[in-house]
Amino acid sequence: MRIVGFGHPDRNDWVSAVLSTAAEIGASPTHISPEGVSDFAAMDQGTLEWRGALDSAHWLVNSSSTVLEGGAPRSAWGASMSFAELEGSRSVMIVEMPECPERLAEAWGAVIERIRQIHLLFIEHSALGAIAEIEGIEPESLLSSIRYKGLVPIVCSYEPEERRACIEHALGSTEVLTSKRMGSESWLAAFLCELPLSGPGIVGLEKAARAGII
Amino acid sequence: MPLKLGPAGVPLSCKGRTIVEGMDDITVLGLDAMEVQTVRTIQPQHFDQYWQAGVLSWNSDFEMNMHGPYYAELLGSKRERNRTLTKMETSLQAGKIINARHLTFHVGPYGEYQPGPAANEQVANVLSGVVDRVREVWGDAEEEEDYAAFPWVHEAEPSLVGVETSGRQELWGTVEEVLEVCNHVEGTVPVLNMGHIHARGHGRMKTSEDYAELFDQARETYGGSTFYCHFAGVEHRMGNALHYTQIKKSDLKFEPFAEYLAEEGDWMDITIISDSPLLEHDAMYMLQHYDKARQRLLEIRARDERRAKLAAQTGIDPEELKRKEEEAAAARKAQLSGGKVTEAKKPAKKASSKSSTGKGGKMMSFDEKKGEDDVF
Repeated sequence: MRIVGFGHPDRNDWVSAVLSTAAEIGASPTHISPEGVSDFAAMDQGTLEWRGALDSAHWLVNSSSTVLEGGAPRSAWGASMSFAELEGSRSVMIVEMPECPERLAEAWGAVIERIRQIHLLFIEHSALGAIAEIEGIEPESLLSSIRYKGLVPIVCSYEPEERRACIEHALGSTEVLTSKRMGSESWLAAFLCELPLSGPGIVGLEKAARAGII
Repeated sequence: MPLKLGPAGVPLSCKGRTIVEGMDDITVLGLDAMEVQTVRTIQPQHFDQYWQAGVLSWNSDFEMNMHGPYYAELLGSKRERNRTLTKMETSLQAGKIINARHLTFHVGPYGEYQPGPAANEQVANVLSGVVDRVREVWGDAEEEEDYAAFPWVHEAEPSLVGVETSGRQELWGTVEEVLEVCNHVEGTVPVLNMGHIHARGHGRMKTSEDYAELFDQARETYGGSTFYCHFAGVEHRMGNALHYTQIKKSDLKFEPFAEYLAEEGDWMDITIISDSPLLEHDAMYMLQHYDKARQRLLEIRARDERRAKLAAQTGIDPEELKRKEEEAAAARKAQLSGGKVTEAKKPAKKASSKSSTGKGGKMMSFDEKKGEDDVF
């Protein structure tokens, strides 16, 4: 399973966490980041060769906080999703609470602008309430509303304390309790690795959602 | 036929993210329309760029449009309806500032209503209120001095309220419903989202005749000639849209629509907005296909004219001349295909001789390679 992620060069972000867990599971992750650049915001997005990087990749993983890093990372973030669309890779977007929570609206706005290019939207549980407030909808119906209005194939979230994964998809809603408590990034990595192999329909989806035992 | 094409939002390839920068990029790409997305709350800082965009569109042929909130519940409870109307109010205020020609709105789920006249009547009532509000907001004589720098507010026609077709069975917005409401409420215009119509109709938009049927239906029911359309590829199942895709990957093709527009669209004033995941790429793809369809039509017309002239000169019936030309073309084709068989043998020999001498040309066709494989 080839997974490509675009993230911060110092690899302390959500994308890197998902990729490293995916590597432990047995996937072949590729972390795309500007080489030899000390300032991420000043990177040259023209140096990234997306077509080659996404060749035969199943997933492209991005995070909403990348857009807050500056104009160049934001452009590269957007370009990666356009190339994923062209190359046939599925685009995964992680929406998490940024270091500066007041900037969540900005990050979420950038995600909304690209909503049609996203195939799997993962909203980190700590950001759920804030996004529901921005959108003016009840937190309980947030995932289904986004899926419904944005036509995103899969919108999901994982609550580590309750070990509960909520997944909204074209066939309805699925809620799964994992047998073990794990971090959200571990659940997402396992879900991404298992989903293409777990078979069709709700049964396959549930199987993938329960796969997070490493 | 006035046709305007553009993306739904700032182009993906635009380095800047402001609306004005997006308009510049769209113009450079040869497109001439844009739909601004106000899917979320409009914040005060957005208004600065809205004014600039309005001025730019007023001073050029660039058509600005605006999309209202996605979370619409006009058929919901009083509270839900009022919440939607508040969001719509913000969109129409922004629409005035940006010089929007169309304001596109969804209606939302049927709620307590069953599909039918009662639901349509309720939608018509609410939307006639929206149209009245748009007219109040535009051209207020007391505000004329305040808006002196923005002449369109007093000189241009107010935005038309677009009612969008929906892509799911549980949402109000079949073609029939939209046309009926637009027919009854002056100041509204149907927004024909082809992806939604295709999905809801279980893949109904296949040929140019399907488009002809759709626009004939619109002409008979709604009567107007101004249309505002959305176009994107769509994945659908059981009459419901699942996901937008790029046009090339969908079973909804643009070619039949382009063919219809080129051949029969003279009576229409139409704007097509690309809301595909590849916004401006697909808008340009549509423009290319429309140009191709027009070119093809012009060629056909030129050929028919030439044939009519020739027939008049030679005193032959044009139909007979056409038949003779077709026969001659068929004979030429047969001769050509016969020639190809003999020609095809020659390069194979050449290829083998070249490879044996080790001086193969740089350009080599797949047939030649196949020949080499056969040899070894």
